[in-house]
Amino acid sequence: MLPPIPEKLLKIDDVTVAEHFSLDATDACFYIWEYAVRQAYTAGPTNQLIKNLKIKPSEIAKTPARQYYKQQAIDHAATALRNLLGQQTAEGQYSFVPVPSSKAIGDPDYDDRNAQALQRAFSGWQSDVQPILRVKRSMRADHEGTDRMTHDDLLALTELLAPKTPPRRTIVVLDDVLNSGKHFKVAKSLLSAAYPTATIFGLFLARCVRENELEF
Amino acid sequence: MTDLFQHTAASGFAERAISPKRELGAYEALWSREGTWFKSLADTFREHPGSVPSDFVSEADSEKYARLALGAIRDAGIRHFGVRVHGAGEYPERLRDAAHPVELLYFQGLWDLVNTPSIAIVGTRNPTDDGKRRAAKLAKLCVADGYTVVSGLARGIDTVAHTTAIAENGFTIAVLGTPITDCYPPENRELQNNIADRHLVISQVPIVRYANQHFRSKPHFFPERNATMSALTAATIIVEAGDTSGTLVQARHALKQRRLLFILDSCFQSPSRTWPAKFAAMGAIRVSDYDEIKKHLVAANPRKAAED
Repeated sequence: MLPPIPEKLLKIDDVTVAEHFSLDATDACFYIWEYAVRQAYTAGPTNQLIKNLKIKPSEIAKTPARQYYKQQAIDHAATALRNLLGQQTAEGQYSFVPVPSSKAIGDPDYDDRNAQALQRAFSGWQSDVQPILRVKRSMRADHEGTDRMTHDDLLALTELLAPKTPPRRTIVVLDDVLNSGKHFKVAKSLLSAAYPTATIFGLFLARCVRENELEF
Repeated sequence: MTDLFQHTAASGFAERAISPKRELGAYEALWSREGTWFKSLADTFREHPGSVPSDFVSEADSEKYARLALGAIRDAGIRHFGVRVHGAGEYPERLRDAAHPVELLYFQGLWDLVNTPSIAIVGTRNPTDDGKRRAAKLAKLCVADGYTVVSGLARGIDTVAHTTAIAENGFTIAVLGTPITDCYPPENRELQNNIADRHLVISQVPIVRYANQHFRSKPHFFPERNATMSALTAATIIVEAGDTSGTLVQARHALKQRRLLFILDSCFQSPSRTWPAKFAAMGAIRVSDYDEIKKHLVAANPRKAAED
């Protein structure tokens, strides 16, 4: 079952920001769905959607039938983005930059699902999707293990490519899941250094709450 | 209150996105206006499809009431909570089946439990020993069958339903008649905390208004949560109830919302009670064991059966 597409986007605010500890009051972040990861129980449709989105290309190579579920998840995410942003926004003063795969191009697990979701979302519209972020070498994805990189480590590993055309006034960084907000902050650092006058927004398919990890 | 608050032209998606804090502040502010009740609120939102609480409240008022509500939540020692707003995020569409659907609700715990098949087990606050045994037996069978047990955290049958579900290692949802910052009856405090930590607590009751409400009128919030509980679940089972029991509110709502309503055979045995026959005539199902309940549930939702 896929999560129903709501009518409105949500905004990270005082009620939710503490769960995303890399974010601060200067960050404007938006999201569609929400799910909680707890040891005891996780089975909702949003959780399922994210799991399917994250199916690794190497798993699909082993079990091609899984491609169906990944594609279905990308399509659903694209429909949600298309409905919630609308043509006026997509064709307006916004550029969209997907958060890159944690693997380098050529790695068997290179996965540009965020870029695919954006391209599909705006198909037929005069949008500006710019996949200009990438990692210099493959790293373990955050959700694969506990050895999490610091902001600075991640920043050093990420590079910003020259866009084909200059970005529009507001740059929207798209990622599938908002955890700590670290990937967004790294993207924002690179983009705002290169384009100091641009406004940078974060847009996420889902915010993820990991309550257990807050208990320190 | 039917006038929409004037927003500056909301053109971009960022301006159209809603903030949970702003919405809960606006919800609390709406509730603090003279004469507001679930019906008047529901009427307002029905007249303005697609609107959210902040459409009717100034930013300053939303902020003021958000501070009050968040302060009360902090003072109650609550560390994790969330809100659901109609039209956004994970708000369950089936809550719209209620006569006065809620625009915003507070929750604590595992929200995902609303996505599990669930059954409400409700009844009198003053049950007989047999009533308690029947409630426990039903809760146990529901858990064994993979259903989440939903109830209202009241004394009596509700308490038995929750505690049995927990004891049987099942899941349970408490739909409160108080705000999440309060507990009634007081002896269920520990049970409520346990459900908030490991299961799910839901409340539509406004925190600020409730705190300022005279203690005698606080119970008026109780029956309103039964409509939400019924809308949330696939079926309601009434274990035991008197002719004037608040449980019958849920029975009426369940039938209106076209949910399955089961009445235990034992309820029909007392000749002094008139409600069982009345509700049976309106569409409630008289059952004498869990297998009968199960048969009706499967007929109503074959998909759940296929998943088993």
